[in-house]
Amino acid sequence: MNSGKMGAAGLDQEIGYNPILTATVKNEQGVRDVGTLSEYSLQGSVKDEFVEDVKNRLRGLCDNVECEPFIDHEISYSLQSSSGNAVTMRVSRSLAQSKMPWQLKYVGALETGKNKSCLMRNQVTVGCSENVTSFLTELGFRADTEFLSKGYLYRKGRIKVVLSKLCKMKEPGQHQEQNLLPLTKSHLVEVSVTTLTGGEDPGPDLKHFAEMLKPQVKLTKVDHREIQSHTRPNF
Amino acid sequence: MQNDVQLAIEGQKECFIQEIALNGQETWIQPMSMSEQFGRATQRIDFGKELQDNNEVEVKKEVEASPTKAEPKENPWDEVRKSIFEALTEVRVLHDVLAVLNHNTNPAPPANPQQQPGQPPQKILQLASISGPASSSTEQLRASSVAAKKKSFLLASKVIKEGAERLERNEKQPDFHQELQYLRQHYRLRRKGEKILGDLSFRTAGSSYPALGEFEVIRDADCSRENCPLKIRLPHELQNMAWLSIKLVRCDINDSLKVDLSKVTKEETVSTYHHVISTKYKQKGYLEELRQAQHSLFTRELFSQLCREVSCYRPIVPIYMIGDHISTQIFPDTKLIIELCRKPFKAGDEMPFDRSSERRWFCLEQHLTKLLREHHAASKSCPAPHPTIATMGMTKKQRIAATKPYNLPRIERMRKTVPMIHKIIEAAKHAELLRRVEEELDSIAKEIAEPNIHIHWPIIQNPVHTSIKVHFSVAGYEMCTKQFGMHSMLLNVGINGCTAIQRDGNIVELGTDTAEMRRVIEGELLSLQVACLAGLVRIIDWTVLSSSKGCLLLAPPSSSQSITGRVSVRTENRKIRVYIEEKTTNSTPSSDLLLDPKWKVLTDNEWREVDWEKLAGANFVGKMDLMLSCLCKAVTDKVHNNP
Repeated sequence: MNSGKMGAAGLDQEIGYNPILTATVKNEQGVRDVGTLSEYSLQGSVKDEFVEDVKNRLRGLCDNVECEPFIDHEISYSLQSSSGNAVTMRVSRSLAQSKMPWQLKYVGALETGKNKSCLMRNQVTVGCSENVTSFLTELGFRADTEFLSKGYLYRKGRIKVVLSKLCKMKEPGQHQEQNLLPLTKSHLVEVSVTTLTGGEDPGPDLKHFAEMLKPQVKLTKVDHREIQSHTRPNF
Repeated sequence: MQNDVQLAIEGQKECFIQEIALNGQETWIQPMSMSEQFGRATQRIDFGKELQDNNEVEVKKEVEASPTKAEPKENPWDEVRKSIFEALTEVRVLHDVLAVLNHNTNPAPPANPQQQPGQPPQKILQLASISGPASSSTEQLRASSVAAKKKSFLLASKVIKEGAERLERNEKQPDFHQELQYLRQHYRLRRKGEKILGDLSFRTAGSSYPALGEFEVIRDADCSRENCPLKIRLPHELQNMAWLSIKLVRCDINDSLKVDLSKVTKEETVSTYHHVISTKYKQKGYLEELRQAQHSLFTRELFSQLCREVSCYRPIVPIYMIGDHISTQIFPDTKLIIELCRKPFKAGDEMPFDRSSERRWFCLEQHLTKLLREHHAASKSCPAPHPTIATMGMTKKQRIAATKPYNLPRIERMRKTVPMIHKIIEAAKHAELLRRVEEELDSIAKEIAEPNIHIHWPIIQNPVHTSIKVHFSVAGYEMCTKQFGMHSMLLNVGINGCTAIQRDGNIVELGTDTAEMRRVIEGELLSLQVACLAGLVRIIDWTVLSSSKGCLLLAPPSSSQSITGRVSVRTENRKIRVYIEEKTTNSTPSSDLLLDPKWKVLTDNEWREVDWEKLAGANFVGKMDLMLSCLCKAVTDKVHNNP
């Protein structure tokens, strides 16, 4: 556990060329500790006809790497606790690279604040093996919703840009192309940064990025409770 | 006259079409009549201004105005009339010229019977040398026609040449937009308001260095520099040229403890064996500037990364960072110095340093550059998270580790990155060690002529490891060694020392001092010679009774007579000594215990040393060859008593 055991030459602190902040800090005892992470994001949507324009714009704005196509299958589980509050967990797996571990994500409540330029929530994401679904079922979680998300992933420094189309499967388990039914006629654009809570606020960066995408997509901080409480028409 | 030609003249239609009706009829805007024009002209007259001006101006104006107002009616047609008159004059002149040329004293040639009847007789002007009676006048005609042709060719060529020259001049005329287009092929440009800005940083390659890498493109109408309408304005920091210089210098063991800097003796730079070929390819002025600026930016990023690492990474041997200077002792007597040098950039400068006096390790500089480029590529090429909700920035191994039973140290090792300064120190140590090994091997090869030493260096080298194969052979007797396996040694030069792997499998660890390596090689050479002899004796029918590394015991062949007994070869004190067994008379008293005659072998013989160097022969094996062959016959006088 001691960092002194690593490396022959008594490294005090490793210096690496890593612009993407990783979630470890070092406290006085020299033990590596994991701080809480929070996710800052902005969301928007764009009609299917204009997706190519958005893709071109993102290609110009984002890092000089090819965009990564992905297909993810996400299931959300919820547990009704005795006090009446429901706990939700999301399980996501990649259909494009099936050897990668599944991800289990918990998101906390939205942090409200008028001066916040973007949505901020606490989150915990861990990799897990494939039997996480049975594990959650054993714990008492029940599968809530299930969908497939297909699209492209872009990145700019530590900002993750996900352009995805949400689909649902006609039959459970069949995730081939012909069995998919799109849920909406538009794509979802989500711009997010995951950093330590209490660290530097990435809000201005996200806001700046949203400004640059403005002609194509309007990225805003959408209040999810509003969506959940009101009934909105289907697009 | 029948030669009159009717000319049809039509004035230019100056009417504008107002409307084209659906049936094709055009409605014209009638041009202004004279009265309307006059009215318009009068409206332009400013009576107030005219009264204020003095008379001279009035007179001037009147004079200017008068020629235009003089001929309002003939004006449209006067020009036409003039050009027609000129054309007529030209035609008349041409006609006269032709008539003069046509006029010849000879009678007209008879009408051609082949001519079609009904056609008027033609006066064929013989300008070219076609068929016809050769006569002086025709010759004159021909000469004059040739002269006329020549003149016309000259005129035509002159016109073409002028046109080409004009085109050439147009080409060289610097066009700002063409230059801008050319610049766009090299750097990203964007428009910001009125300014054109360019980016010469390495951000798109994966760098996240915060320094400014923006330049401004200015249109220079005067083409002040090199006749180029484009000028570049660089930010202040990038106007200097910056480069890294890596040197290895000799120093004392206690160099870092020296406090009094004034007593520092002149540093002796250890020589390098690399030379960089300077680029002869010169680009346009502004491209050269931009390239220098980009290179300076890269070097500054590299140096700042090294400085950051030095301040965090504290190895046992301390690294000192003072200003633009990083130094550390890599060996007890060698110091590594990395320096960032700056110099204001002037266009047209060849090289900023004096090549002969400053000796730098260019291979290490290139290695550093490569390390930073690798960092850039790594930060850019982090694999994307699949599924997308996973954390960004982890390598594939780290992601898969989530489901594997690894323990914490193993996971930590995945994350660990070796800092660049650590890598460059290792590379510098290896380079210095390799240089020492090379020097030592060269000096050994020069000193020792026999036996032969062949050294094979690899073509592709690693920055921290090199393997050298050293072969030994005896001239003239190479086939002897092959029977016992070729004598060779593999020298693995690492970071802190070398390893010598010998043919028989022995591994010798050598330190940084090359004297140890010399010892090993000398030992190898001795054992080679003895082994070579062992191979030889089989050919000449002597028997090898026993052999080990460096020692040999030979028995004479049974087929021929031999005066002496066995021959023993040993290496003692790094020298080969040869002893011959002599049958002595029974001078030693026989003992009571050893009764068996076979034991007499042990006591009855005396070994006498041979000073083999005095024998004739190119090398030891050759001399031995001679000696052994001589021993089979009568003993020669070469064997002498050794006190």
